[in-house]
Amino acid sequence: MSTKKRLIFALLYNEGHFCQSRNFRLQKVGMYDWLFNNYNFSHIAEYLDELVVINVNPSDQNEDDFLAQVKKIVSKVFIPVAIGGGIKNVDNAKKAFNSGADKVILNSLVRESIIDCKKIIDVYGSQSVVGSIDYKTIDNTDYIYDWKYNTINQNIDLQEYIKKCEDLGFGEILINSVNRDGTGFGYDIDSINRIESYCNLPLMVMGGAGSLNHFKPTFKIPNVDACVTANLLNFIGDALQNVRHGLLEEKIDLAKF
Amino acid sequence: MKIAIIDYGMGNIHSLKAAIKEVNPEIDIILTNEHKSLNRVDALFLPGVGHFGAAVEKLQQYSLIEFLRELVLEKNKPLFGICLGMQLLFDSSDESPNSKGLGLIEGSVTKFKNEPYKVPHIGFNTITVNSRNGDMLNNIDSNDFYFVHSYAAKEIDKLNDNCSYSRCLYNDEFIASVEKKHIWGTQFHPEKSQRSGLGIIKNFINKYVD
Repeated sequence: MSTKKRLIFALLYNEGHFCQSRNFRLQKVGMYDWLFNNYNFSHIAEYLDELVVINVNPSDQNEDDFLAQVKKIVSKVFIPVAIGGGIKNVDNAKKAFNSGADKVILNSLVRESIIDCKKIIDVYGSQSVVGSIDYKTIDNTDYIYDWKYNTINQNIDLQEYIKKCEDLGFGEILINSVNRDGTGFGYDIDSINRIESYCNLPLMVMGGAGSLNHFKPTFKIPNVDACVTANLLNFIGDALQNVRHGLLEEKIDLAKF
Repeated sequence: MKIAIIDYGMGNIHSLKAAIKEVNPEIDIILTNEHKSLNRVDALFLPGVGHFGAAVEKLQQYSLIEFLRELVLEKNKPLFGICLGMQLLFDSSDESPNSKGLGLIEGSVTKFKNEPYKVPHIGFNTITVNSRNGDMLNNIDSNDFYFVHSYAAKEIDKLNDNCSYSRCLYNDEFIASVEKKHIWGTQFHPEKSQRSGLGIIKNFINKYVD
């Protein structure tokens, strides 16, 4: 049988706090203790297939603090964990894996250093390396978005870029719609359909999930392997549990825990 | 109450340690490759991610192959191999034809066919439990577990009557878990498989660690 589709939560870390993103503007939500003590993240994680933790403002100075948080999180959730943000070379990747990551997520490194991407993939294997792309859709065309410069990159074609990720040996692709990011309006089905048509790797989609109804149509897209949400506040309490049960009732092929 | 995670430089021991702690916070967990320490614990975990040949080489480097065989077969020390750690329980692997495994369970490990699904096999998949005479899968509600691997033990017919097992289908049918008395192995990662995974670790600990 094929493996199951995945429901994934993304925790966004920014200088000591976990945040919620709203069109790439970050809203502070709370610290680790808040996440686990008041928000009961352990309970929420019981309804997830995988966890993503991203350092949204990575620097050499905050790398250790971020990974210390990752270590604490990993010891409280019993699912695969993917780590992203600030991974520039094999040494960074090694630190992430040693902190308990099962996968690393590379984003701008694909544009900055193919050699380092390749090295990380060679050392840790395709299954452990996710290529991540932020994209913005303008007039039905999807452009790579560079959050460092807050602008779209018109020099690179997204389809060619994804092809390049495949050739480099990435194991899966995570795409995040900047248009929908943090809106809660739902995943951008049109752009996902476009990208799905030429992406040959398992596709994780992110950006826009705000309610239960947003997941089903997205999971129905054949090559969509995973739906990711970073929307902490919309999915508090039993919300993710309900999402999961709802999707299973709709015959979406998720794991039954 | 003391268990050892065999530390031979192959694998993500952080998660396994956390999972054992979650199941029973009282247990003393040591990471070691020293024979003396391994001798003194109630039970052993053999984790592992990576290449079969590299793992065998590391085990040899710490003189663990013969030592573990003796500990498990003659002193009946319970051993739980996970992922590559389970593959090492078998005789050999195509991944490295000249490297001998621990030979605690009869059979070899071979690569997956490439069709219809992509290799490696990665993600949650469903196991089918063949016999319930073992203890590993007692009181486990779910049959979905998390896998990451390109090779698997497929010689189900070689498992003798002492073994209970579960199987999984991904391009080929393979052994997803095996339990031969006090020798346990899971190709999937119980420490990454939610409550059902923790339940398996709990079953092992309840049975063998006092």
